[in-house]
Amino acid sequence: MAPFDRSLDSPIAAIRELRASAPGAVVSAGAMTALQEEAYVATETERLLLELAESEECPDLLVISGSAGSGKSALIDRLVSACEERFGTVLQDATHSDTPTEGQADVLSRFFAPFADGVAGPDRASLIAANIGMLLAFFAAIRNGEGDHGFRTLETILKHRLGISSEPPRDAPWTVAVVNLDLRPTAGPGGLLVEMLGLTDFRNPSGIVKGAPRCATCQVRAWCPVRSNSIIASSGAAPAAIDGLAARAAAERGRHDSPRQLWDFVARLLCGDDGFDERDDPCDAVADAAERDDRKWVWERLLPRRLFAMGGDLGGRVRILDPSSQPSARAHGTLARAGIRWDADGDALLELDPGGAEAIATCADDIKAGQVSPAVTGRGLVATNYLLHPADWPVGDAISQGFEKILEEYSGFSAGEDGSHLPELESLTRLLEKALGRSFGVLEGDTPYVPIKAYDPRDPSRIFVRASLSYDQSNIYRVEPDPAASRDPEGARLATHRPLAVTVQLGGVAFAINLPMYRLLEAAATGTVASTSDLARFYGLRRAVEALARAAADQGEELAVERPGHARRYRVRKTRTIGGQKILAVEELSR
Amino acid sequence: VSIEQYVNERAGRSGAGATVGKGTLEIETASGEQVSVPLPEDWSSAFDLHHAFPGRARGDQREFLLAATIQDAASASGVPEDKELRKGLAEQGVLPVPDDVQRNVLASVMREHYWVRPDASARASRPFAFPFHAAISANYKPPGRYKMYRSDILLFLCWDGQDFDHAPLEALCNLLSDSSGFTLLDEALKDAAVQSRGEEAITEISANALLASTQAVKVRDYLANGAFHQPALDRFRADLITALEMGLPRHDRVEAAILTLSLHLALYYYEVAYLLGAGLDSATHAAAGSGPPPLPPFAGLLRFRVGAAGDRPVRREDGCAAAWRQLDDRYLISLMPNLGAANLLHGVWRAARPAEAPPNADPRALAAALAQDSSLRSVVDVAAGALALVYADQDASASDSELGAIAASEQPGIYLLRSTIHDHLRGELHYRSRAVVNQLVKRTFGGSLIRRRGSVLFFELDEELLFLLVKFVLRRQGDVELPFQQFLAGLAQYGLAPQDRDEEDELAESLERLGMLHRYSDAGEAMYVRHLL
Repeated sequence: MAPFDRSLDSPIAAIRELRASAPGAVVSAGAMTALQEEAYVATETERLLLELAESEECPDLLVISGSAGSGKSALIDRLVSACEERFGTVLQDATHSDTPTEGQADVLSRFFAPFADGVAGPDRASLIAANIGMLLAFFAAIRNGEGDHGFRTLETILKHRLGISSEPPRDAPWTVAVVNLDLRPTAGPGGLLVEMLGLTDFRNPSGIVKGAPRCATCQVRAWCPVRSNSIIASSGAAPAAIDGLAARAAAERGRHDSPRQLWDFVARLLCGDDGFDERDDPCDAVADAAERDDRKWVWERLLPRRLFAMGGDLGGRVRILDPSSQPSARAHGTLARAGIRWDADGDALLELDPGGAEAIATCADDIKAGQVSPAVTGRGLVATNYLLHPADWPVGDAISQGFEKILEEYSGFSAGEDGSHLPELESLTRLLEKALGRSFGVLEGDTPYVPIKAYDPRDPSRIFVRASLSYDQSNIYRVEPDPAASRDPEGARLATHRPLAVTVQLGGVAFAINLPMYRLLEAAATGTVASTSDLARFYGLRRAVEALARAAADQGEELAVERPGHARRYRVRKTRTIGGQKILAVEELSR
Repeated sequence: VSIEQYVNERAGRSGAGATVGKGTLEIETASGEQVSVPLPEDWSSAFDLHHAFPGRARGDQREFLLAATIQDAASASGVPEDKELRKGLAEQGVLPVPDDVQRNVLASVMREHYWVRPDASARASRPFAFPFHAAISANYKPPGRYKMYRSDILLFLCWDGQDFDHAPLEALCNLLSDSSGFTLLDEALKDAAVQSRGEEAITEISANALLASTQAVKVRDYLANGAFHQPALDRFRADLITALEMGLPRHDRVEAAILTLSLHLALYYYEVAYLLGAGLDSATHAAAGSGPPPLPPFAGLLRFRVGAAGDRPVRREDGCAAAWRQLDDRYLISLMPNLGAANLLHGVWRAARPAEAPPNADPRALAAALAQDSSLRSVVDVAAGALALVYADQDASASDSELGAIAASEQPGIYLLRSTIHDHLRGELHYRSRAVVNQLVKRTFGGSLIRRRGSVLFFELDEELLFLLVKFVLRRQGDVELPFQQFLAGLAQYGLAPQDRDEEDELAESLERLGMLHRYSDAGEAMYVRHLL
């Protein structure tokens, strides 16, 4: 007989449904399931859009765009139900097809008819949710040879706002707002994750598992890692700690995670990265463990054990943020003490229980009994401590923390704040100089010299030009304001966009320095040789450096030359003889 | 046995008669049609198809194409080799430095930086000066006896169907004459080149001078009746302007011009070789009365793999290797015999149907005419067989047994003609075909389309060419960005296509790594190609 009331729903089954691979992961506008309704997290973007829709400023066309799983359908549902009367035409179902069939192109043509070239616009606002690929495919599908397809104004506006085309948008008699949900931060301040964790708390009667009534009948709660994980993850400082990890993980790839990816992460987090697919009723797996007295099974799925050892896309990126892998005295102390006093280790784990997370005690007993290796215990205790006191544990390494400060300053710079004192961006410039010098040219002291490309790349260049990236040489190097906010300030505001990369213009080539690129620059500045794939990512930079070298040389910058067959470098500069004759001075730099 | 007897024996197999007269081949078909076909006075001229190739180029360094163009535009003759300039850099008064030590340092650096060392081979291993400015190449010529095209090829490729398109020629001459974007050492080298030539020094070139050159007169004459394949020339003209207008530093634009010329010329060789070869195949079928088979378009035949993804193994069965065997090993290497056969057959057509035959040889048109005209089929078959014998006979290496075998052969006349020419040119087939293309795009650095790995030769597009092609395709479509599939369609116009679906993915990933592809959603249709510049 089961140690719980089978007539009640399994809360683990509900959590399992949140995985990206679950059938209910895809939201269909106008047909959201009960679980999807319950899992919906309102955001600042929704509030801003509702405010806009209800105002006099409501645009004639509101486009909700973004990649699959970014929350378009859920958001449009909310908008329609909250202020349906504002919208004359609503197209909710242009989101899921990858390619518009002829029929879909016709549907979109009809929807966009009030926004065709030369048409004054609709009487009431139109609302559409469409992924970016669908919009692009639509314009491609209606393009008829060289001729104009009749939606050129709309095309230029949408492509410009979405950052796809540099063609200037045409003037239109109607107004458009484009909200690209890919720009919306989903973790960190104003994100979704903290509320998601609250919704999955088994104790929350208005949450996804409705307070998990089955748990009240369960005799083996102390063996259930999922219930305990849900309580840990939603209590005290833990939600902020987990949110901080997800925010940093997004920065690591330079792109925000979609709500679908976050739900998948939450489901893995709570289930201890176990699919619970082996039993029809997933609670039976817990009952089986209890019957086997299998504490190891519980420990392997408990949050402090699993937090930094998960699979999945986001889980994999969180894994590398494990504080126990970072060089810190605190982590070292925790790891070194683990396994010396088992009782103290077990007690340290128990601190994580805010009340009701009974599986913690089960695992703490196992630790006290010396059944868990010191190394595993140590890492679990670091995670425990991180969940309890995230402020004491810098997330990620020093490089990512440094980049976070740069982004913070860059956001202010992009928003037009006082640009006279920008120490972080200045340090980025210095880093770039150093990395360029080390990777592509030479460093003489702190002065970088970049090579003037020789025609034959088999011979390394022996002529270098001093490349100082000072701000006043705007044609050589400058930090550009965040492009998303620059091209569409209103769209960026509605999406509560925060940049994840610093855009710079170097020798006429624009490229984004995101965290992975920043890591490469840091590595290059210290002399680390880049891998082949890293070098490919450096391609744009390499092109930029070539242009930079020419531009600097064109301005008469002095050169450094390396004498073939010698380890000697010389500086070459223009000078004049006493008689006023122009000559070149060649002076030895170093040996 | 005399040649007349062999010719008559061969013609007699189809009930016809043929005799070799003084400078003519007299034919009488079984139906009684009589045709007098003129024979070439100089058989080597049979291999010139001037409206397809303006000269008898052999392989040489591709950079010399630009150097030779500069010299033609400057009417430079009798100029010293650039090794003189290289050597002279260390002489007093050539570089503006105050003492010998400084002079020696700069001279040694400049010799390494500005002189390119070709891939070592027995014939061409001497370093040559990179032609970054007219003052270098107009005053000093590359080393050795130059064997490839002069400015005739640039003029030829700039033909717009009616006349030379001035715009690309002017853009190139302006770039090569412009002295902006110089480093201190660029300027020092240019000044050294000018100073050391004294009063004879040339400092700039102009498109007008090039258009008034003897090369221009020659090419205009060759193209008076149209080019063999005008679409390829149209592509080149547009792309050269695109390359020259790229927001690149000066030296890189010169390099882009060399690459554009090299890539287009190599692709042109492949395309013309294919059109000639497949056209003659078609004419052979048509002459046999079976109707010409459809000629598959060149678009997408040159299947490549991407060279920007690091080194990878290759197998003979891979599409990129199979495509090389098809285009290079089958059509390109047979370019000379096919040129000869096309010319000789055109002579037959003009002799038989002077009012209908076009002024320029084109086997594709001949195939269409043969399909419609049964008596022409008889004339061409008899004449081609006889021409095979006459061609073999004028070669001192021909033997009686060979002539006897040709005369007794059951093969159709056109086939015999091609195979006879092929056999006689076997030792020199590659000089005017593969050797030229290899020099243009089989390189160990910057801008390569052909690679060898072990014993396998294959097409592989490197980063430099990809960088250019992305720009070309985007400009051609008039877009800043292009859906990936449309980009592939644009590549196909050049004959280029990824070797299979996996390679399409590889190409997309390579472009993405290089910062030239953006994914706006996970779905394939939202991948957009955009250039770095």
